[in-house]
Amino acid sequence: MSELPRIAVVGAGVIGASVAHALAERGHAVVLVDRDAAAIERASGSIRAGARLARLQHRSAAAPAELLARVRFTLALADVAGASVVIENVTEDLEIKLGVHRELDAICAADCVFAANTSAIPIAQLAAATGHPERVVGLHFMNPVPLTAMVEVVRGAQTSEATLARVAALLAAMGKDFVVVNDAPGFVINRVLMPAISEAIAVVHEGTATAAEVDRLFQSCLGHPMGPLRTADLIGLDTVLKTLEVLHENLGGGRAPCPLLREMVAAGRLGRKSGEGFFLYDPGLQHG
Amino acid sequence: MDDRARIRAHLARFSRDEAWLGSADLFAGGVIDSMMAVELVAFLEKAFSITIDDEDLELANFRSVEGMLGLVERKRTR
Repeated sequence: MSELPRIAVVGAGVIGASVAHALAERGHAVVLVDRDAAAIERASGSIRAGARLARLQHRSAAAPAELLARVRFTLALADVAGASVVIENVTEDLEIKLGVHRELDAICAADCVFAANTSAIPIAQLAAATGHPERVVGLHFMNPVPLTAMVEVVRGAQTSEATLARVAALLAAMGKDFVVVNDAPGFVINRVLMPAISEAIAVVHEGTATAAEVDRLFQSCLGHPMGPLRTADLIGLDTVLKTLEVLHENLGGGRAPCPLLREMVAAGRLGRKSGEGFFLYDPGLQHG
Repeated sequence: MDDRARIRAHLARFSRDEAWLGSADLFAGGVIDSMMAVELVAFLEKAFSITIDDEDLELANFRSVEGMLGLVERKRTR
C-alpha cells in the first residue's frame, strides 16, 4: 500500500467531529476545520466525551488527552492545503457545499481527493462545481463513526478508480468496511431510511402509537438495535428534515416531511445533540 | 437534597420506575445506553465538583446509584 493519506476534515458539526474522532482513535493525525469557533469548541468537547466512551467500552486504551492531541483544530480552511484526502462534512445545503468545494479546489493539491459526506445530495451535483469531477467521491459515514463498522461509498458517474482506491486505503486505515454504490439521491441508506423515519413521525403525530412504542416494535419484531425515532434523534432532526427535503426535491413524488418534524426543528428539539427529541437526553453534550 | 437524591433526580429524567432506579445494572434494561454513561460522567463532575480521571472510566462506577455514590465519595476524599 502507498503512504497513508494525510487527512483533513472540513465541517466540525456532529458528524465531522465524529469522523475526526474515529481517525484519531486509530492513531491518525487529522486537521479539523470549521469557520465557527463555537462549532470547534463543541467538537473538542464531543471528541473528549467520545474518547471517554471508548475508554468505558474498552474499545481504546488511548487516554482522552492523547487522542485529542492528534486533532489539529483550526478556523482557517487554508490549513487543509497539505491534505491528500479532504472529507467535507459541511451542512446539508447544496449552495453551501458547492461554495466550499469551489474554495477547496483553489487551496488543495492537484491530486487531492475530495470525499463529500452527504446524506442525500447527489455526488454529481457537487462534482460538477469543481474542475476535477474524477477526484470527487461520496463517503457516507454513520454517527457515531467510531462505533459503526460500515461506510457507504458513493461512486459518482465520473469518479476515477484511483480515487476509489485512495478512499479504500483510507477506510482500511480507519478499520472500516465499505460498500460502493452508484450515485442517486439519498444513495441506498437514506433513500430507504428517511421515508421510514418520516412515516414513524407521522404515526406519532397522528396518535397511532407513542415514540417509545414505535421503537419497541422495530427493536423486538425486527431485531433492529435501535428504533427509527431514536435513530432520528441520533442523526439530528434538523439533518433528517434537510435530507427529506433534498429527497423530495430530487426524487419527486412521495410525501412531504411530517408537520410534527418541522415543529420540533423550529422549536430547537433536535434530538440527542439538543437534549431532547422524541426521547430525553442530557442537554449540551454530543458524542463523537 | 443529599447525594443519593441528587443522582436519582437526574436519572429520573430517563425513567421514574423505582425498580430501575434501584437496580444493580442501569444499563441492562435499555432505558439508557453506554453512550449515556459519558453524560453521567459529566453530570457527576459538575453536580459534585469532582474530576473523574481516566482510570475511573469503568462501567462498574456508573452502573448503579450505589456505584456512582461510591465514586463520588472516593473522589471527594482524595
